[in-house]
Order: sequence, then C-alpha cells, then structure tokens
Amino acid sequence: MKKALFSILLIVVLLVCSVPTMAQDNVLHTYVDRVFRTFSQIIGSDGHLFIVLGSISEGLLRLDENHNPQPALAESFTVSDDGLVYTFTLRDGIQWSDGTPITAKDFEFGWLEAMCDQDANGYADVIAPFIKNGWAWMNHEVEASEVGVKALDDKTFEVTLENPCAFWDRFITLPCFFPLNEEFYRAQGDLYATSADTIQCCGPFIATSMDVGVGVTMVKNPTYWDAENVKLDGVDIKVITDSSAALNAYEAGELDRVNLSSIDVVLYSSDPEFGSYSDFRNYFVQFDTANPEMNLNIRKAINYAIDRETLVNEILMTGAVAAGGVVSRGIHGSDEVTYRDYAGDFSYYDPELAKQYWDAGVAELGYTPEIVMLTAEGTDFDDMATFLQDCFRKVLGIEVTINKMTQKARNEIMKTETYDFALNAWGADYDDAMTWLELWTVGTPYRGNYLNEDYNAMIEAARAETDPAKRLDLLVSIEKKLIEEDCVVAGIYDRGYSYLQRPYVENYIVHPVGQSAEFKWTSINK
Amino acid sequence: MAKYIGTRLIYMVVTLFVVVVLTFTLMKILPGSPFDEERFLRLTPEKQAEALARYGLDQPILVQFGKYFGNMLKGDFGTSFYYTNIPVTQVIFSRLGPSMLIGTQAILIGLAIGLSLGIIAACRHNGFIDNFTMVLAVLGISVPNFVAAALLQYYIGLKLKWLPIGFWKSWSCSVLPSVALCFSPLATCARFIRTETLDVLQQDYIVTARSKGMSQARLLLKHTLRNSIIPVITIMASMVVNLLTGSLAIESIFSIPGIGGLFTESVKNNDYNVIMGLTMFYSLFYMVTILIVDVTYGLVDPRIHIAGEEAGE
Amino acid sequence: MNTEQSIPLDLFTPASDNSAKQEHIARQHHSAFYDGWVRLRKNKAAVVCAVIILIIAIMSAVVPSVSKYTYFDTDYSNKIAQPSRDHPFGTDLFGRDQWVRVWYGTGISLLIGLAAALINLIIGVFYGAFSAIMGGRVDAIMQRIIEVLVGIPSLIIVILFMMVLPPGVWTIIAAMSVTGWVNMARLVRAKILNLKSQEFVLAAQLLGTSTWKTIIRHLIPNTISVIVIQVMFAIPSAIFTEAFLSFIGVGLTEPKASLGVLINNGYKALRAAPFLLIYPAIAIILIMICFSIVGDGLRDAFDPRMKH
Repeated sequence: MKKALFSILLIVVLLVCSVPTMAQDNVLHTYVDRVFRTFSQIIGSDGHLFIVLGSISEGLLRLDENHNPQPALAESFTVSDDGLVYTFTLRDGIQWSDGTPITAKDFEFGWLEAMCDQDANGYADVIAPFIKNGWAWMNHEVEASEVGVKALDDKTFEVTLENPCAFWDRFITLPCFFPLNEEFYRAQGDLYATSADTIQCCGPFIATSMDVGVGVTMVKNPTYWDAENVKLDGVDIKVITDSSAALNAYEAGELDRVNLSSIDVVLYSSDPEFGSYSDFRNYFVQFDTANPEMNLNIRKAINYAIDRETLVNEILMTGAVAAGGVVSRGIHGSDEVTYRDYAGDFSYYDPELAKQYWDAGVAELGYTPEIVMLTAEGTDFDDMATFLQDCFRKVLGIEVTINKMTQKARNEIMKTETYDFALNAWGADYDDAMTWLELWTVGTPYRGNYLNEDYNAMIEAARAETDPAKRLDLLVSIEKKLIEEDCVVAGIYDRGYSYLQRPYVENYIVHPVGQSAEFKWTSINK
Repeated sequence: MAKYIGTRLIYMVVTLFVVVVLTFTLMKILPGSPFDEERFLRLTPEKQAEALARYGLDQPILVQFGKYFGNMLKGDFGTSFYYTNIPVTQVIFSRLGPSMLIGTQAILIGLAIGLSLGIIAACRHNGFIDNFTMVLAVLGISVPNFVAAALLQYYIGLKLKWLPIGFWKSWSCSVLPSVALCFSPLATCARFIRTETLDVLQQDYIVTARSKGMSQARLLLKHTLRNSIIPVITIMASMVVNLLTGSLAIESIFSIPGIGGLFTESVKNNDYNVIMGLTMFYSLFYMVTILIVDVTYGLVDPRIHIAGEEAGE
Repeated sequence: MNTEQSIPLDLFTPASDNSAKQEHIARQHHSAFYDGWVRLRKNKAAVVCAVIILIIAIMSAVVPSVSKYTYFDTDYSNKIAQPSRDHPFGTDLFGRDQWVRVWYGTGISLLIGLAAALINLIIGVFYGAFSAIMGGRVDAIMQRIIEVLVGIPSLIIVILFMMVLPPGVWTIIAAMSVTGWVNMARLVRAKILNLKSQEFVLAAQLLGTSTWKTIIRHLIPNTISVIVIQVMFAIPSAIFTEAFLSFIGVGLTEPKASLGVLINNGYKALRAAPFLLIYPAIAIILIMICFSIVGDGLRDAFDPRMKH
C-alpha cells in the first residue's frame, strides 16, 4: 500500500511540475509516416528523405511550385547544340553551413560518389546510365577522369551525357545530384550523415537535430544565398507511423498538415482545410510470364477485369486516380499534352472482354487454374488486395487466394518459385515514361521474368532518339507492347493523398516526383 | 548461495551461446537478403558479388558465424543494414531509453495497484471491491492495449488536453503510454494475488495466527503476502521482460522511438546485426531476471531453500 | 462443575467391535471430478457464463451460414453504413455485413484461442510437472531449454512458419504454439516445487504412497487452480497474439476475419465509424469475461482445498 501511495504521489508531483511545450510561431510542424533509413544523399532513395535533404541542402537547380526547374546553386547553365553537354555556372559566395565555400569540385565529387554507391540502396543504377561513362564508372571499368562530370574551375561544372535527355534539368534536382565536400565526407567516414553534426548543410535550412526514429528539426540558414525569400524560422519534421495518431496530433495543434487515411476522408472531405492530389507512384499487377498457367489470355482477362474507377472512388478515396497503364497519368509527354492523354489507356475495365479472354484462356489450358495473389503487408496493398479478390469473384467468377507476406518473404517467393501474379508498385525517379518502361528490360523475377529482345531493342531506340515527337511515339508503342500485346503487367492506380492543412500555412508545395514536399517558400501567416 | 549463483551464471553463458547459435541459424534461413532485392537484381553479377563480399555474406554460414562471434567477443556488434552504416549498439541504445522508462513505469503502476486491489479483494471476498477488481482484471486482459492506447490518446490527450498526445519530448509524454501499457500487468497481478491470498487465508497457520489475535494488517503483511506472491513473481518475470523490451503498437500510436518497433522492423528487413544485437540483449535480460526471480523465491518464501536440490543444483 | 458427577456411569457401554461399520462412509462415494461437477453446477454465475460461451460458439457457427449475407459479399453502394435493421452491426469499408463478419470472426478467434490454449495446457503441464518432479539435473536442463526457447525471437519463428506452411488459421496456431506453453510450464513447475515441500506430500510419501499416485492424487489436483487461471490467460493471449500478427501484417488474410483482424480494422476507422470497433470489441470482452468466470468456477470446484 505504501508503495502504491508513493507511486501515485510521485505521478501527481511530476504531473504538476511538467510544463506542456508550446508550439513556436513561424515554425512549420509536419511529419513523415516512416522512419528514416539514413540521412545520406549517397545511399538514400526514399521520398521522405528527399524532403529533408531538399530543405537542408540544394542542387544546381530547384523545382518551383509548377514543378519547373529554377536556378539554385547554379546561377545559369548552357546546353550544347547536340544536347549532350551541360555547363553550369555556380553562384558567387555560396557556402556550406560551416563556412567552407561550395565549389564545382563538390559537385564533381558528389556526383561521382553517387554513381558508385555500393549496395544498390541509392540511385547509382538509376543515374549512371545517363552520364557519359557513368555505367562503366559504377562497375569500376574507367577512371574518374573519363566520366562525364568535370569541375572546369571553381565556378564551372560541366556534365556530358550519354544520350540527349529531355528532362535532364528537372532530373538533377534530386538529392543524389547535390554537392558533397570530399574533405568533410572523408573525415566523417561511416558516421557521415548519422546525426546533425556529421552532415553539411547548404540549403534554406540547417539541421539542428536528426534522429532516424524521431525526426529532424531545422532552423533557417542565414548564409543561404536566397535567405531573404525563406519565410519560415524553422521546420520540425516528426516521425509518426500511425495515421490515427497523426490526425490526433493535427487536431491537438502539434502538426500544421496531416495526410488522411481512406476511411477518414469520408469524415473530412467537405472540410475547408481538406485537399487532395495524386503523385507518380503506380500500383500494378505483375504477372509471372514464366508460369505456363498464366497464359496470355488469362493475363489479359485479369487486366480487363479490374474495376479501377470503383477502387479509387469507393475504397481508396484519397485522391488516387485509375491508371491507364504503368505510366502515371500526369507524366510529361510533350509541351502540349501529357503522356497518358497522348497514349490513351491500355489498362481499363471491360468485364465482357475480360470474360471472353478468361474463357479462351481456360479453354487453352483445358482446366480452370487456381490463382494465388501474392502481396506484401502494408496498408496500401491490403485494401487493394481485398478489392481485387472481390472484383475477380464478380467479373470472372473465380476465387483468388490472397497470400500476404512480409516484403522480404514475398520477394523471396517471386525469386525462387513460379507465381501467378503479385501486387507491386513503382514510384517515378524522374518525370518521364522511361522511368517505368525500362524496368522490364532486365528480366528479373520481380518484373515477371520478362526478357524480350524486341522490347529491349525498342527501349534502346527510344533512348537514342533525339526528336521529342518520335521519341514519344516510341514510348507509347513500348507501353502498348508491354501491356496490350504481351500483357506482362496491368496498371491499377496512381497513388493519391488527401490531407488537412491549416489555413495559415501558405506555399506548402508538393511535387509528384522526387522531393515530395518543398518548404523553401512556405510561410505561416497567423 | 554464492556457489548457487556461480553455477547459474555458468549455465547462463552456455544458454546464451545456444540462443545465439540458434537465432543466427534461423535468421539466415529467413527469406531474402538485407538488400533491396528489386534494385539489387538489376546490378551486374560482379557488382552483386562485390556487395555480398563487403558484408561477408558470400561466406559459408559457419565462417560468417565465426566472424560475427569473434567480433562480438571484442565488443563489436557490427553496423545496421537497414539504418545504413549506423553501429548496432548506437541503434539499440538510442531506442532503449524510451522503452525502458515506459516499461518500468507501467510495471510499477501495475504492481502497485494490482497488489493493493488483489489483497483488498481477497480480504473482502465477494464484496464490492472484490467484484470491482475482478471486472477490472478481466477488462485489463480483454481490451487490446492498442485500443486502450487509442482511447487514452483521443480522450485524455486530445479532448481533455491533460497530457501530451505523444512524441518523446518531456517526461509527461511518457505518462499516457505507461498507463496504456499498465493494464495487463495490473490485471494479471490483481488476479493472481487475489486467488493466492484466498488460498493462503484458508491455511491452518493463518487460522492459528488469527486465533492468537494477530491484527489483520500484520497478518496480511507478515504471513499472507510472502506466501501469495510466489506465482506473481513467476508470471511477472516474463512480463517484465516483455514490457521493458517494448511494445510495437504503443510505440507506433504514441510516436515513441522504442525498441519494440525496432525489433519488428529488423526482423522484417533482415537487418541481421540488429536482430542479433537485440536477441542477445533480450535473452541476457530475460535470464538475469529469471535468476533474480529464483533467488527471490528463497528470500520471499521461507519454505524454499535455493541451495537445496529442488532448485536445480 | 457438579453436573459431571450426576451422569450415571452405567450409561457408558463399550462400542461393539464392528470394523465394517467403523469404515462405513455414510455419504455415497463419488470421484473427485463428480464432486467438482456438482459444485460447479451450484455456481450460478459460472453456469450462466458457460451457457453464454456455448451460445456464442453455436451462433458463430450458425449465423454465417444462415444469414442472407456472407462474410465476403461486398456492396460498394452501402459501405460504412450505420447499424440498421438490415445490418445490425453496420457495414465496413467494402460494404460487407459486419454482423456476419463479427460472428464469423468470433468463431475463428475461439478456434485459435482454444486450440492454442489446449496445446499450451498439454505441453506446459507435462513439461513443468516433469521438470519439477524429476528435479536435479533433468530439471536444470529442462529449464535451460525453456530459456533458450524464450531467448529466440518468436517473430523469426512465426515468419518462418508462415513461409513454409500454407496461409491459414492452423499455420497461425502452429506458429504460436512453438513457444506459447513456456509460461504454463514455468508456473506449474513453481507450484509443484512449492507443494513438494508441504506436509501432506511428505505424509503421503511416509505412508508409502507410490510416486505416481502422489503426483496424480496430490500434486496435480493441487496445481489445478494455477493451471486453470493460466489457461484463462492463455486464451486471450492467443487471441491477441493473432491480432498482433495481423497488426504487423502477417496474420489472417482477407476475406477471412478474426476478432483481432476486425478490431484492427475498426481501430483504423475509430473516428469515421466507431461501430466497426465497438461490436468486435464487445464480442472479445464478453468472451473473456465468460471464460474467466467459468475459470474461477472450475478452480473453486476442482480445487481440493475448497471442500466445505
């Protein structure tokens, strides 16, 4: 009893003593829904990491609110007539947070380092093919001096590409293209970017604390070249993995913006603080083309049996849009039209067509196959899997078994066994259809063991094509082959977000690709 | 006594070694590698081999174990794969504090209230407090702790604004998670103590003591509690370990960087070194707790003499 | 004082030497279990709760098969509907009838809880009793085995089971049973160690009772209270472990549902549709309350020291 009384007394005393922390003015309070794996620009490839890196650091260019590149650490740049050589001129007086000047050498080192990332966690395999001798550098076949990135002098940085690239200026806003000071990086060794003390900042903000499990706090960078346009005094990014907890935090005034889960959209969709948008992450069905049971007709039947509109409007409700293929709807096509509007839909709902193909497929096999849907745990897959199972029951009259595993276990099954089909997703690395289409060139089990010479030849042709209009036509024919003719995948939807945001927050910019949120121009007007 | 504890410590080292060997083997059977396979398979075979070699993953499992064990004896637990390059000790210790604090508080609250309620309930058998305790005990184990946590966060944190709704900023942040976590030890403790006290109260020596005019309070403290607490200690041992090693759901709801989330994450992501580090910490902790419990038996229960044959010499 | 003297001594006569009569037990002889059964029937609360469990079990088997809805039928035009005459517990995000799903889930949860508790009981009691009775080296080794089992993270074992066995209820039960019995074993061992040093066991041994008879007649019946309580904890613990597996994404797969899955989903919908959490939560709490009252009743009925 004494113990109990003492404990209660202790609690009361401590309760009275503890002072609730008040939210500071002019600091943006936001969150990410996963822990950080690293804060290093070299080995990180997660969208939520890019929010942090884009705030505390900067590249040559930065995307504005319309997703167009604007000069950042580079004052200007020129492109050679053949579109292969980019020459960037850096600003005067730019410096790291510790006072060291930023030179073109920092860019050269940063880019070379990013291209030889060791563990395939980062972007090495994504960016290396673009840069002259980049792929060879990644595989240790050439010297650094032969790679197409060069600091001509302190202020001039020259990049030579393998092929002309229409989206290069938008692509290099990714954190893997940020500068990196060799001396500082080497001095930190393995501890680089494991805390706020072991990272250098050069962006609108400076990190004051960094913890992979807690989050990041940052304050305005007084030596930033464009400091006068940075309105916030600081940004506080917490890690909150539970969506209900995040909504509670928003209502308690601890957050200025929160993403809503599907079911909460129903409650808040008419709220004045409500908004939604979709980004470039495509969810798709991956068929195993090495599985004889999944013949072309069966695969096509499944492609046409998915009622995508009902899924995004009735189940997901978060602003997701029905996909027309594996390339997201908003992806850039030409200056006049988006890729999808130009290409039309290859994945769409047509129950009668689906049934026809199904019957043909069953007739071909001579029996009705028992289909297993392989899926990984995670809320974005759960509801979709339940919906698809129901959809196939209604349209094709079949009972598909869901096999839900951890991501690793699912990958292992895809790798070592033949599967029927798996649910998968891929987020764009850059604003171009190629970011998805090139995935099916290597024939890995995660891409349905699809290895097709014609397909790879078409990809090569599109890479070499310099005329934008012809290139666009080529890309469309590639996706048509992938989905309509060979039916290797079936697109389902592009990810959407519904959110609530305080009315006093302005210019909270979201990008559909790369750095998903931008705080440089954000302001709080209470 | 010293000899007994010495023998137990030797047993402990052997057990720990077996745990390490078995966990290492099972962990390696876990599907997949620590790498992001979808990206990893896109690399050339030479690059793949190179990455595997860097972490010694291309070696036979015995060699891998030998290396790991050798480094471990030198105090080097390696670095995390998932939290790229961060040393395992740093990863674990940065997450340990919050879980420990919340777990300890939950146990203290649970024990204090559970013990008191259990004894009072037994003394007032079939009275109001007895029924109340039984209802509480049943609710305590019937309501999933994440539901309790969600309700506490919503009503106490958000609606009444008495306490922070989460995060890890000040001590007050730890109160709601501790309360959410205390229901299970509270209920278990109350229930066991009540049952055992009822048992003990019927024993002859209690009747004797009572007939000799011993006061109720003295009777409870001197004779009843010492005898009724034994099963509670047994069940508490594993509960202490469970609570102090974190609860994924509670940590996730209150956004606390704890060890429960870290563990689930490491198993899901094949973060080998973190799994091993946590396993070692967890089992060492468990064994020390069990040892303390067994020693405590002797201190609490006059009928058990730990140096005797029944305690396992 | 003087009343003693007023009684005539001739009233006292020696008893007849009828040994058969001396040994006669007036009360009809019953087995311990029959006695327990009689006492259990007198405990009204326990009987009522046992009946409720029975009703719940029957309902969970009957409702899903006689209702006009099934646990997997979707109706997107009627999703997240409030409870009504047609859907007594409302509908979920997919427009599935929650009434049927709750009963279906109750059935699955009862199956998981009972099966896991039974396995706990069998392995745990034998292991714990054997360890305590053998004592010495055997006991020491058996305790070390338990420590090893507890030391290996059960999540690894569960994930391995899920990989190897086909997805389903029995895989989950099997995975949970690998280490689930450890607490029971430790409790039974502790209790028997405690009993071994008590006078009545010593007395029994002195009177020449065989070891096995001592175990069956004296040790096991006296550990029943601990066992029953632990089983009553094992059932919710198994149901919650299953819910935890769903929570981290390796539990039952749709469209199947357990109470754990339903509560998990309901928790996510707490704001928009609290009824999705309330009904499965009530179901789980009702089951737990009934089990624990029946458990208490069983303990009181079968515990030899509770004889009045």
